[in-house]
Amino acid sequence: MRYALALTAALLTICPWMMPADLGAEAAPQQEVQKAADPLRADVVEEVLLGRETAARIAGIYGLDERPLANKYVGLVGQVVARNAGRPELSFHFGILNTDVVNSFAAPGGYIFITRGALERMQNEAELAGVLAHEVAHVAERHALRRIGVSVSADGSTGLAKRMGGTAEANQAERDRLVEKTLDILLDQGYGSADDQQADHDAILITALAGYDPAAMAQYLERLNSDKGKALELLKHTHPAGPARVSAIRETIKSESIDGSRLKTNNDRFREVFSAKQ
Amino acid sequence: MRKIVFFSLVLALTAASAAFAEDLFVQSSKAKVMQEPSFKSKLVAEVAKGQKFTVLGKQGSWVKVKSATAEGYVPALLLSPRPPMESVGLIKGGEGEIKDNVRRRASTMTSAAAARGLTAEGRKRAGAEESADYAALEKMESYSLSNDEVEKFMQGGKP
Repeated sequence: MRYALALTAALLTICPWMMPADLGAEAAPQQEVQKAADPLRADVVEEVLLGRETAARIAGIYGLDERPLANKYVGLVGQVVARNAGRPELSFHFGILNTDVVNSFAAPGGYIFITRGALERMQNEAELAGVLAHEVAHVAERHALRRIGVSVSADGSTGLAKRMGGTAEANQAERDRLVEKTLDILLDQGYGSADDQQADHDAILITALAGYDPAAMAQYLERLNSDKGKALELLKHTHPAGPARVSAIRETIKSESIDGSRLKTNNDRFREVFSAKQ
Repeated sequence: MRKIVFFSLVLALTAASAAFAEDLFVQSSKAKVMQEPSFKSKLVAEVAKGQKFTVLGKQGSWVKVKSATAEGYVPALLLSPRPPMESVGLIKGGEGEIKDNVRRRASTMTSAAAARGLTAEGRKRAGAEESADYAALEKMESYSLSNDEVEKFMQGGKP
């Protein structure tokens, strides 16, 4: 008997995770919110600061289109989408870049840009929601961070606070290096097809959860594919081949049983905003 | 003696299996629990952010979950193994984690940028680096929308 009890005690001592939670502590409440003093928060703060510096550079390159109604509208569609992204700790910010270039960008931490050129080629709100959801998904999945060599643990910790937090010279140099590498990804190299496919897949689910028709994103991309203009050079350079991407999006909509759902496109509201004098 | 050994092992193994039961927490402001892993399925319940679920299985993009009051499927991207974190961001009209950090670092940023070596891509962007537009960024950050405005917009309201 002594051996049996000793065996059990030893098992529970060596492997405390084997003890049921309600034996080891009081049952946790059903609805919980992680409070401050969480070490993960420090990593999230650095993720936002890295994104903020990257975003300031992008704003410096292109300039912002400051039309108030257009910005409010893009922000509203963005917030509706971001609510379904699974990163409640981030405050997402949406801006319009004042350029004819057709593209959209996501800097870490929730800084999302869409260009005026992209908006001019859209026909409804669901197309805008799809493109913003794609960028929000890159942020939620921390794709840019992974691409610049930051390892993301299953619990979401990134080690960024240790690596680039504070004012030590070495940390500042590392922060500047990571900003440069992030800009390389966003403006030159792209995320790579695996990340873009995942962002498209997540964007389809996010737009459907937000009530928008995800097929609109495929229609928008199809329209861009037939456009041979110079304004699309960067988009085509940094994103997967057009027709294959459109087919993959339509296939996912079907396999996720979203096809045939009566989801909104909001053509009228989109037209009203962009035809209004601002 | 054998019975006691058996009982002890059963106890230990039961404890181990209970510990393996995976819990996930809802990260979105609301989440719909569906009867089947499909958007077209019947709605079982709607739960709030922070809802804790026990995982029963996974199927494609969906997780089969159970709570005290509901059982069904939720999209995996709305769930995380940790409870939702409070928002990290700029606190309007006051100090926040981001604002404090931005201020603390502003004085040292320029010297560090000047000291480091630039990559080929960095050299191409060197001009733009000088014109990193924080004023434009602050304007973008200042466009704040209340929950109420977003809710009304979702119901079809005008921006």
